[in-house]
Amino acid sequence: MTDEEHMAEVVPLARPRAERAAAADGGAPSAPMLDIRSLTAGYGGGAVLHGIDLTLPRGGVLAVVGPNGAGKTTLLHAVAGLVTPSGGSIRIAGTDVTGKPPHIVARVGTAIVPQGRRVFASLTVEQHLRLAERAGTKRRAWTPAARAAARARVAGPVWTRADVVRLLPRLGERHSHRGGELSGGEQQMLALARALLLSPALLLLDEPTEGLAPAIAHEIHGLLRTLAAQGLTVLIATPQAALVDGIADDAVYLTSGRAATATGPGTDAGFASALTGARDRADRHA
Amino acid sequence: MDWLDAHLIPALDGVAYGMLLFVVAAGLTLAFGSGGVLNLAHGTVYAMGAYIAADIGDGSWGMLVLALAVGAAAGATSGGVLAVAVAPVARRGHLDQALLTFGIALVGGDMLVSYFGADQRQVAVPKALEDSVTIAGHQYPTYRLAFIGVAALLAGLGYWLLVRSTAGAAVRATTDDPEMVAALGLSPRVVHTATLVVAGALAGGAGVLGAPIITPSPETADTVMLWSLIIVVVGRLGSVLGALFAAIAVGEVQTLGVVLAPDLAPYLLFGAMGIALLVRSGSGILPEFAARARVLATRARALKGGGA
Repeated sequence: MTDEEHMAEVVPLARPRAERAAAADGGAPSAPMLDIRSLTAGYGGGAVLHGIDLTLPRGGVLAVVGPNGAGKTTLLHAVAGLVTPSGGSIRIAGTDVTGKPPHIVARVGTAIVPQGRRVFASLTVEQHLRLAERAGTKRRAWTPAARAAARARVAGPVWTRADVVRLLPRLGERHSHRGGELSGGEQQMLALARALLLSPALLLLDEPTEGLAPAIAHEIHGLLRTLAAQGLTVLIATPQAALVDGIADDAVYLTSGRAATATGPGTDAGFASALTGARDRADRHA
Repeated sequence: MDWLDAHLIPALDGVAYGMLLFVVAAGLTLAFGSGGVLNLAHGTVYAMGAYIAADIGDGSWGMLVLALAVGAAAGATSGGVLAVAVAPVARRGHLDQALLTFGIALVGGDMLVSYFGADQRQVAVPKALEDSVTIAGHQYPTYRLAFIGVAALLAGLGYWLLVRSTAGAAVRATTDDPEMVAALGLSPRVVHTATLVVAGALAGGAGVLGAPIITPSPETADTVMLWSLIIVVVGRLGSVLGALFAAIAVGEVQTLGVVLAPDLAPYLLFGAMGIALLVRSGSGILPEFAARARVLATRARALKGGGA
């Protein structure tokens, strides 16, 4: 039995791809999971994104492909609420989350695995999982914004600590180690587990295999393929299309903060050629 | 042995002072770590607790408990008020926030004096704690000894909460990366407000219990604030364990140090702080100095080698 088959078997939530669309309930049922219109965003007054349009259907896995500095992270951060857009709109399952703070966006049903992992250095693996599970299950809504987010919540597949440890057994072995003491691959797994425990409907992944040894990157790749097959809606940023082969079914090529969409069949050759077309269109735009 | 015998009492006093300052400084360092607010009104909350102890306390246990409850509640409330006051300038950086809390400290200090009076107040303690106990042939105030015990208990409980509980994990996570805490759906502002409320309750409670040791007067707020700041800086901003060691060190410098080197008394605390900052590992001044010395030595060797 290969690693991937093993994972597919132990993960309790595995479902055929055909059932994906039914995976997320809540929000406006007909609305796409993520709908971005004319989004402009940047840091300190300078724009990094110049009018991005992007639609991600429920259960879809969309890759944002582009070189360093193209604005991939800014795009994911804008969706997560970590960057405030200067124009345009972001809707999650029909709910407008443009300019909402990150904790509100998270409560609507998103989770982010950020670039560089950003695990909590002083917390043990166990404490990460406990904190994330608590945050994902006991959402106290004290403010009107939090109550509105609770009403708009899109339910994703429910994850418990036992589920993530079954999916990522290494975390079980390292449960008493602090985030700062883990290897890059383990940190990546922890960041993924932290995000999954929020039981998100939309998962944002920012260069999940960056800086990892090939074998570890391959392992992460297998994990993501498992998650994608389960019907999670995923927006994944990557510098090369080849890194998301077998995971993403659509791609957006981002260049200097401008985007063009390619709908690829998900196969290697088709995906690459679709991307080339998209890149050409994006370049003409720029 | 003689030396130990002669200095046992100041050494014990140093522990009592240190534990008292730790309970105050722990809240200060946590609030800074989780919310980035250097709360310069923290000493004022201690003074408020101490005044409450002097006002309510009448030497009975019941009144001591009542004073503790009132002091902690008043401290918690002031923490909440501070969180609300600081929120509008939260994005403007440390200096603006520190300045705001400094203003609140000045106003709060004046209010305390106008309400409680400008005289130094005596604090009545329960009869059972008024006497002295004999330790290795020395008389030592029972209250201070009891205080060391209570403060150690409080410190242990606080540490357990911070390190073992999920709420504590949220506070530490906010210290590490507030954005990622927000991405979990937790409002960093809620975590920060809760930290300020707990820090306020600790300072208010410490004021009540510490009133017989650092007595309430118009200077109390400034003194406690200054010592707490030194503790927080020496123990590294945001580190509770660091604050514990620094607090005991400050307590000892103020008591044992003054006995050992009376001539240097006015400079001891700041001298010790300077040395601690220089020696401290990491990106301190000494490692940089050492690195530069190594570069110079390498160059000198290269020059020598070139000349030969």
